[in-house]
Amino acid sequence: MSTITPFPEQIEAGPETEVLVRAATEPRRFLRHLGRDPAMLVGLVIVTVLIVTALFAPLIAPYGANDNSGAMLSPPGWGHPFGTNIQGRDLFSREILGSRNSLGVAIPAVFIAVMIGLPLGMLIGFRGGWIDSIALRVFDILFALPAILFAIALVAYLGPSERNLILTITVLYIPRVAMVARAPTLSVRERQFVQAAKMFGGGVVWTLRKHILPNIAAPVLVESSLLLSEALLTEAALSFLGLGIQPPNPSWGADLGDGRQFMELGAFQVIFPGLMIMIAVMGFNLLGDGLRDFFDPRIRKQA
Amino acid sequence: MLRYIIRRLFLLIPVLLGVTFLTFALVRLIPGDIVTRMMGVTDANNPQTRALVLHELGLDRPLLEQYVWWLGRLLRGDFGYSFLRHSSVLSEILRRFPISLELGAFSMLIAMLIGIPLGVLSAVKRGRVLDYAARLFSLFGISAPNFFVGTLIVVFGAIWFPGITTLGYVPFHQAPLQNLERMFWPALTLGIGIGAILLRYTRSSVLEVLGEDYVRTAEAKGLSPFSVIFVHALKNALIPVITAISVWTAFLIGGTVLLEQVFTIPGVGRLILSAIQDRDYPIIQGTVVFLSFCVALTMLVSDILVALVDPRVKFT
Repeated sequence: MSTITPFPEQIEAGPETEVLVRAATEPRRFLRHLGRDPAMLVGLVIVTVLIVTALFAPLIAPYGANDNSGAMLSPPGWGHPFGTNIQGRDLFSREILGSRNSLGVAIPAVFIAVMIGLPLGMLIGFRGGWIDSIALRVFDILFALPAILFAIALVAYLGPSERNLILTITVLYIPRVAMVARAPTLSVRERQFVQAAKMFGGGVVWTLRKHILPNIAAPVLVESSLLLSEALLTEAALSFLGLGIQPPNPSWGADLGDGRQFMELGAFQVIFPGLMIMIAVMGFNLLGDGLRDFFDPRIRKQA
Repeated sequence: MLRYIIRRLFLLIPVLLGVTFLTFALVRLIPGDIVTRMMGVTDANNPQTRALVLHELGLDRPLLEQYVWWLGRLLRGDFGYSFLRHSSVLSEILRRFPISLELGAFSMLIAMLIGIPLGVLSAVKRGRVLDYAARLFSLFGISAPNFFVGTLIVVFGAIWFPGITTLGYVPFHQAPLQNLERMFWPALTLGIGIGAILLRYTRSSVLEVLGEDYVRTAEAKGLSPFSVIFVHALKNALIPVITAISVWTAFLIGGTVLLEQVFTIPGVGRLILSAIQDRDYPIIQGTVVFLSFCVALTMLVSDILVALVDPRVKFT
């Protein structure tokens, strides 16, 4: 069934149709865009370096996360590029290894939120009517929750752990992904090719996957990148408060929070973990902005 | 217009019901025995204490009845009782909420003073050095976590300017100037972050409006650039900015928690953090409900404001 496409999409090959397909079939256009958008290139490089770092963290880090290097609160230097903390742990190694925990929370959380939010958003947008109204009311409720405080309370109730962090962030992001997927679905479903698919008796799942998804993938992709940067921030914030990744596991947010205790003995203890969070957040932000410009030429003209 | 407001008020009811239900459900997520977690093993084994705690949390009734009972109490302004603080939850919240409110309002003021003028300038001087500088500032403002910037201010403020006190809180009615002096730093930290976002909204919105016909007409009439921008363009350009401001005002409700912690300000954020440490569940529950009500109200007011400012909004 899926190999047969009864109606050619060319019926309505408007400029914004099939963006994802175009992106996949147009790697050259993507590369050209990347060459003209240095900010996005920087974002892509940061994100790539970050992911490679996380993957090979134990090979890169000169020390283990909790090895005592023998020097307490040693300032940054050749032996310890980021210095050492009060327990004599090498901060460079901790921040390298910490990237695993930060990305290990942010990526699964956003991935699950997209896996649930995307089909949900498409479905409510496509079906419309009372399903749509009810879903919107439920989202209104979730949007009314003060996000950070709700996350704090939820983690506090469930107990701080990596799994609960992921769960909390996922719950907060599902409605946001769904809203991003819903809006373009509302307009795409009125298009001729979707109407034709309905007329030919195409099932809901098939129509959504075959006709709606390619047309709404771009905004969802952009939103995912921006959500990743927010998820990193949320994880860091909760760990900073002692409600996220638990010591002695390395985490940028927790190291920043711990460094505060002895900060008068060396600002480097807070600067490096903080910079790691900032650079990671910036990378996903730049990448998301660049992707948006790539997919939407209208915004690009203004930028 | 009045009908629109009334309709929106009615729509608030399901949201509030949902928020209360979610918060109510949260307490039931706590793994293990809640009385033991709250009071410790010794007190939890005392049947009298156990009964009292279960009754206070409403856990001694059937589930649905519990919710209705708890909702009824909320409607009467009874947010519960904190055993640890020996006072009503509402009085604890009301004691600290004005502090967070002051911090939030101060932050938003700074954010608007930074974001809107810089956004307009950046759009008008598009492609020039000033535009790039403003956009670079905005990128850093958005990416830098506020608890990191706040920590840096505390650390380097103490090292470089020993005369300035950045930490702590002084009530406004006791010493207004000192209060503002100490609130300034956390407010600046939050203001930079939100200002960076407002800058982006203002810039892209002004750019969009500047390309429109009526602005070109105004230019063609020979009006001064000043009057084109401030009298004609800005009126429309600021509408999306107002929406952004209201979204971030809602964020600031509860969103001040990290900076309250960094700058040791006794607002609602720190109340909830210390309640978490003490496992003071009535306080956590009450604060989340209270702040959610505030967020829902803020969104309502902002929707009405946008409808008032923008004649294109249909009252449906």
